[in-house]
Amino acid sequence: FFFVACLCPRALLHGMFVLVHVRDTIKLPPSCFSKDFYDGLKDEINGRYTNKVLPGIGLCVILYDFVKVGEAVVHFGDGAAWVKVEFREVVFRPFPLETMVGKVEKSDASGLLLSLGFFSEIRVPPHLMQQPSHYMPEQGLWVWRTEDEGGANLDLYIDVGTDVLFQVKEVQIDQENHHQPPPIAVPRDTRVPDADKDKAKETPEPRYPMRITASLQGEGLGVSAWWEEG
Amino acid sequence: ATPMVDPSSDLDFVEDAAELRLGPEFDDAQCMFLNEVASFLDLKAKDKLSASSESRANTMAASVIAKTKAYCERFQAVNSMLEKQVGCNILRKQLQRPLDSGTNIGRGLKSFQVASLVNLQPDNAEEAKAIIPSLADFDDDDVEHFLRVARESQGQ
Repeated sequence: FFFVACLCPRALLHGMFVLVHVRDTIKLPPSCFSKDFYDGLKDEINGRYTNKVLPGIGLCVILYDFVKVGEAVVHFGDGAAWVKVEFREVVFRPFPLETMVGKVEKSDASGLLLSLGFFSEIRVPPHLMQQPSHYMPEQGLWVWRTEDEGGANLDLYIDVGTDVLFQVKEVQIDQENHHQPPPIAVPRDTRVPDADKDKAKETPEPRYPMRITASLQGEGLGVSAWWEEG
Repeated sequence: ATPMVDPSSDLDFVEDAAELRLGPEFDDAQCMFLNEVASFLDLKAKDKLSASSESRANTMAASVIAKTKAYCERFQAVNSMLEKQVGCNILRKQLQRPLDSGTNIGRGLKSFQVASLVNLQPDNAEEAKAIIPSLADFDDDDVEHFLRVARESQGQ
């Protein structure tokens, strides 16, 4: 019934992967000394960064390459080697207006939760569904009431587990410090414990540090089967 | 580094891919082609499997890497030229070369635009401008030129 002419039918819909320069000092525990030095360093970096959100930057996937590696300095006391490194990290970082495909993971009165597999904090709020849409509490599903070619009512449901095309509306990535330059390379879980306690008082429910608001409004968006000729 | 304004507050700096306002951290960041990401992760997945390390970090990393790879593979172009990193680097260089004629002489594509063109593969200038709004500044002729460069480099 609807046919999308404007969106490239073969469009490879995606989010942006970016190489980001990171500077950090990596602690190599003595247990790593038997490995090849760079392997040990790589493992420690990936262990520290993979699947963590770099404040203000995005979701770290994997170490891409080393830019600079300093000498290992062994500290008295812990026996670990501390190495200053500069490296490039593959970071997932979508931008507003990008169109992507995600799977519906959850559907409730607050909207939809979409997932890319490796990242699942994508929310479609009610006001960004195709309009007019409403929530059916018995089924737990959102339905877009539209019209078919004959002008009759057509209810299009969004099932959990379906793939939907969405447009990135907003990307929120928490910054650690509002009054200082952000640390160049501090993954979220290495925050000072005091800051954690303060935050815990203000917001009892921890939010994931990177959140995407998505829109299903617009031609071609939503369930792709809606837009196929037939 | 100058701190980026907190995007979660209603302040002046608004990111917008249409106008290429991506934030200061991304000024010189290289945007990757999906092929590059998929190939790279493929390499690394083999890496992990052959390494004898069984650390917890490796297990979690392996899972995220596998899922990211699966995501990229859904959308990567079937393109032998881009299977090698060398091909990707050449294509990137060619597409970032400044225009040598026309009203936009001296201007070149930014990294985000290059990756978008290669990843999205629009058929023509009109389509390209529709799905990559920041190309609006370029003439249709310029965009056709970029598309031609991309196609030729990929052996099409």
